[in-house]
Amino acid sequence: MIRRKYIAACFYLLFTVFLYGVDFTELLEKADGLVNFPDSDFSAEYTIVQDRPGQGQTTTVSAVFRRDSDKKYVIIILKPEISKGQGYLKMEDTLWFYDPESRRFNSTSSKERFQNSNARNSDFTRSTLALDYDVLEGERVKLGRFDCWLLELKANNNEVTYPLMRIWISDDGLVRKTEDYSLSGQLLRTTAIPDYQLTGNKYVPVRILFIDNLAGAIIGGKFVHEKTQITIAGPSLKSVPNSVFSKTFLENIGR
Amino acid sequence: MHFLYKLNLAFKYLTGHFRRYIFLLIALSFGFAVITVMSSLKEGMTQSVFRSSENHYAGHIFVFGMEKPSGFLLVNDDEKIIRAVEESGISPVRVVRRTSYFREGLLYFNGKAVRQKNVFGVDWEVEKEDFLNLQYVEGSAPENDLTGTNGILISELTAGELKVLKGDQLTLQVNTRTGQKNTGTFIVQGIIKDNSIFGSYKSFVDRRYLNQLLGMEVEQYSSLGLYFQDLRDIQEKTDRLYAVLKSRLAFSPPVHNKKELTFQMDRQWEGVRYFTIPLQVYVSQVADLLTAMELISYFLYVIMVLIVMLSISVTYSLILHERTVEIGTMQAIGLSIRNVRIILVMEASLLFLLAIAAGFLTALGVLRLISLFSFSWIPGFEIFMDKGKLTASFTVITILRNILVLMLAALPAVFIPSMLISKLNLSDSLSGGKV
Repeated sequence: MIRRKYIAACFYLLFTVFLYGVDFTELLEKADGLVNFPDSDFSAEYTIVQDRPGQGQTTTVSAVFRRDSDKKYVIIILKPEISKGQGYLKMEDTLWFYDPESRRFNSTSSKERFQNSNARNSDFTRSTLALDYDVLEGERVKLGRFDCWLLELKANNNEVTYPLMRIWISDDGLVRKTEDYSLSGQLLRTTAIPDYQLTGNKYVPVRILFIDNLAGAIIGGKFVHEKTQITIAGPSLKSVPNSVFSKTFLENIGR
Repeated sequence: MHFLYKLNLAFKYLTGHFRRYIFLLIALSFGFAVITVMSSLKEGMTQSVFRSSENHYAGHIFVFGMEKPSGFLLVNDDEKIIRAVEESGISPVRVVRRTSYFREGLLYFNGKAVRQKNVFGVDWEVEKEDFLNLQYVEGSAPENDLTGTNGILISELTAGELKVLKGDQLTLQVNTRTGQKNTGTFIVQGIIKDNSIFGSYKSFVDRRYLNQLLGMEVEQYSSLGLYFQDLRDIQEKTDRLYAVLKSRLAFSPPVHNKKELTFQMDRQWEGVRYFTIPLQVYVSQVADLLTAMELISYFLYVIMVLIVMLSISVTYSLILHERTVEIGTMQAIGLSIRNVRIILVMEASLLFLLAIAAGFLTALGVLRLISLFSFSWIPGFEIFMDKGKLTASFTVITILRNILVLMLAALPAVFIPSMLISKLNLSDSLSGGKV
């Protein structure tokens, strides 16, 4: 039964490629390439506003440093005061979380929530859509002012958090919206990236909105979803010192 | 002199001097009541912990597997394990298979999420009786067999936080064995009342459905629980099972408490490694607490016994002193010293039996009174309670031990004054000489 579905999907994809002249894997590679920085470092300030209906908002400000060529990244929490000095360091296959209070590093997972928001630790690293997912289906759709390809993706490995995805890629190759699904097909999270800022020849989102499709509260008789908005300011492709991508750096910052 | 005649005399003297004996009777019965209440409550608390842990972990001896690096609890070799159980000759009365999902299960309802400490996948058809015997929130007990359904039994605490009722649909979010998100929908079929240490955030679903959500095969599970009729030699049975299993599967060394278990489980390996442990290992920390409580209760016990001994000694000496002339008269009319002594001890023994009966009835009354109140307001105390109440447990051995202890305390306090008074010469006795 599954084999039949795959064969049908392959035929469908071949037909689409023939009809539109679009290779979906290439489309994903392009989308990844526009937001990854294999030839330079990247740094920016991320402001994360977590909105829990009925409980108010919490704001976290963090500095993000990425070195995609080495698959490394560092995140340092700047605000709020209570979390100041906490940090994340991705080295090789391990993601470390540093707590200045206990002065200890604990390994965490890129699949975990970032600072209890609706963003995952993996949302801060390089995009690997083309590597991690196979395209099952693609169609032309309109998303607001954007003409997009809507692709249905299925994970080809177990490393990713969400095994199924729907992704909207506008004609300029940028990801505008994603829907993340559980293995059983339940919509878990919706992500919207309405604007990008051009940094060098790369694109950095101006804002990312994550909507948790399961969590929320009924306010005034209406279901309001829990959401997180990330605003990215001051993106830079300037070189970041090697020392930043180390445990010592997090320890020094945390003092 | 005939035994029955002496007994009759002793009874007559006891009833004749009953007013004198009332204080002694009260002291003895109060002492016995206090000792009985203490020991039966301790016994009841121990049983409550054991019962709730037995229900929580489902068994008396367990075989479970842990897969590394995923950290998933997984048994792949059911056939080999069952064969080993048979060959070890430990003869369990029941075998239960459960899939356990710890800490990461999230139950959603109307946008609110409650993290579950444990989500258990159970074979309803095997554990039906156990679930029928649980206490449910009024009107929420499951009515149908839940085999093969998406029914879920949740704890009262979870239901309260999610504000769900029987019949509501929940979403359970889990991470699969390989770490991906998965969800399933469940209909609430029962809300369990469980105030024990294990009852806070747990839920029960069909094992096959949970396996499917976790990306496990239908025949896989997390742990095999073995139930036994006779619980006296569980450790020995565990050792026997381990001896058979260790050569057939990758096994962790034997562990004897929670600390050792945690240490072994934290070690690094590849693939599935098995553990076999008795229930006591899971509850070893609670058992330590119970031992501490037992020591405190023994201390109070000794203090109580000393008080009783002292009050009997003083009161009985006074009573005998008041009866010195009477005892002299008994001797004067021909009763031998030995018979006088026997009659006095018989008198005290009858009083002792009366005190035991009165003490036991008092203890029953006190325990009944205690059972009317809930002590769940005491932080952490709920682990010792059964369905929110403190329950007493009477065992023949405990009662006999209590009687023996009190008897040993009372005997010298009675015997010594009796000896002393019976040793007085007749003229001293008749003139009311000092004891």
